[in-house]
Amino acid sequence: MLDAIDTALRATVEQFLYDEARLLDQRRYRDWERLWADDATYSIPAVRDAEDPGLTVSILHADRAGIADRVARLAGGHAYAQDPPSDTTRLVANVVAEAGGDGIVVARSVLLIHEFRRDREHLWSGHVEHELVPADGDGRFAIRRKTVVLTNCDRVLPSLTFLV
Amino acid sequence: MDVARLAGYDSLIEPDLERVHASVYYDQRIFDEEMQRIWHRVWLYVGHESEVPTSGDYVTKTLAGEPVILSRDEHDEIHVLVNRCPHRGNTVCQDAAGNASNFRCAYHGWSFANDGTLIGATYAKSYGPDFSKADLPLARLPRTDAYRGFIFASFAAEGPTLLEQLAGAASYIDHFVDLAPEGRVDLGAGALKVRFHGNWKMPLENAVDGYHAVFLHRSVIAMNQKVVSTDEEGVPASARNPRLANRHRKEVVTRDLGNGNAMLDFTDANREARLDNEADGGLFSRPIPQEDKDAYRQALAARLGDEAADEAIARGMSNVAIFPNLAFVLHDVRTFIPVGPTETIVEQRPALLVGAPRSMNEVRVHQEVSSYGPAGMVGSDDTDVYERNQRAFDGRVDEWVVLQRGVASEVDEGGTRVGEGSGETSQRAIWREYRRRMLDGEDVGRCTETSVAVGR
Repeated sequence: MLDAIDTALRATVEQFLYDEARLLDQRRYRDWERLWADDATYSIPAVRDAEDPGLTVSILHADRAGIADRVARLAGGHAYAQDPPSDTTRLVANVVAEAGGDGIVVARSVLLIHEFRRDREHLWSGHVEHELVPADGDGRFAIRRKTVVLTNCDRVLPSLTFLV
Repeated sequence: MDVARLAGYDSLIEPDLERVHASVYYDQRIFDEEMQRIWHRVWLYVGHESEVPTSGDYVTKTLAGEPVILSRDEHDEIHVLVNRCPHRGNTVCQDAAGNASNFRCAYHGWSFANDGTLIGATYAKSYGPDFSKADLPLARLPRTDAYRGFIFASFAAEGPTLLEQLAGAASYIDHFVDLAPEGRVDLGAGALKVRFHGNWKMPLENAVDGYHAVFLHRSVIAMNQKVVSTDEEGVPASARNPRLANRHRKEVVTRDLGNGNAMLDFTDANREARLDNEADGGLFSRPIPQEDKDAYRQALAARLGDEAADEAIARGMSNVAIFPNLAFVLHDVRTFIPVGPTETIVEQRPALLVGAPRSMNEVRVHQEVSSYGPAGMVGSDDTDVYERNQRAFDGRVDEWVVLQRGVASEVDEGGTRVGEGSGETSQRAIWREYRRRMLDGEDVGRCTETSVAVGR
């Protein structure tokens, strides 16, 4: 019985993560932005296990307003680092979902992104953790926290200007 | 290959510095000569003392292609060692950073103290009676020096002192560091590292470019003011952001600080605003609680005195390029690592003010993360422009870069060239030194197709 519940939860979470990945691959950033909760944090660390995150640099660290800023910038036509934009294909796998209290679900997954922009391609990969909270009414989720730990997060990287 | 390329550096960089030939951004032979004539002669920035805060700490770096170890030994002495076993040439240190009393070569087991001394050559008897460990330490750069915590080294045993080379940039470093109540900055918040397909001189020039921001960074300026509109010339209404708009006003100037060092000087812009509102300011700034601002001013005054503390706060931060591989852009400290003529790494670190309230340093980290690094909203657009430049330099129909902006209005202020805020005085300062260095050592005064072939 427990197994069935776990399987059902994982299926729901997987579908959510696949939907999110598709929105990002399609660069439907405005739609993607609606997935976030009001008290959201979106983070791509540059240092593993930082002792003092507040005084440590990240590749990206944004609250809800910061997420809106990034989406607005990409939509505004003057984000030259995304002109032309990156074409991406994402693979989301190894999904594990864990239910906490109050309907909160922590989802862990791995991510592989094939990016092609201008005449160059790049592979990005990493471990992702989503903290999902119940969204209004329809049984779906909102993202309260998303942390993407890239495989090469503390190394020299090319520009990463699409949203991960 | 056109005539200018064949003619030599006196033509590639025109004597009045108003035009530069694009081959200096792509030619492998010129790049090799830059390594010899510039990078192997001048003082190079290596790192900051806060990257190796305690005894035994080390970081590995690349300096003009050379793998080096910046280490702090048991006596708190700092060393810039070549990361190469003198026996058969292995790197002896593999990690980007760490703490170790010695480095051991994996190949044949030789070990070295963190000051470079050879401690042990395995099975030493086979080397015979004349073998002396003292003869084979890790090599080191001939000269190492530091200024206010910033560590430099030179491949040249002889030459001007570090202070002589810093010239007019030294007083800016003093000011930058003296903004910290304890008189030192901390680069320990970590580094953001970006690789791009472009020449190393592009980010150096761009660090002190007061012309581009309102165009290239308009999306970010709009974000900071929540207004997007342009005037009839297509100039964004960043006019409404006082700090950026001021670049077109007289208060912002560009300066030639000597020896290739250059400044985009914001000192006289927004003095009142800095005193009244922000200890920091700039893009992605966040409000700092009043009690923290008061505490900061008080701490600064305790060390500098009231008047000097207010002056330091009013002066704020500017952009300074220190030839050839260091720049300060407001709170950001960046270093340029050439990989090849068309490939460069930029490492950036926010300077935290030691002794300042935590909220101020958190704002600096927030500004750094929002602005720079792979996903930074300011730096990524700069990076894209470098790559667009490099792509355009593949062409051979028009090979010149024009740097004549602000020539007519440039003035001499007590031996310093000072120009308009959006002028190219700062770029010409870099090229003046570049030209001098590259001509110094040109074999027969001409660099022809055959004579420039240097060992690679």
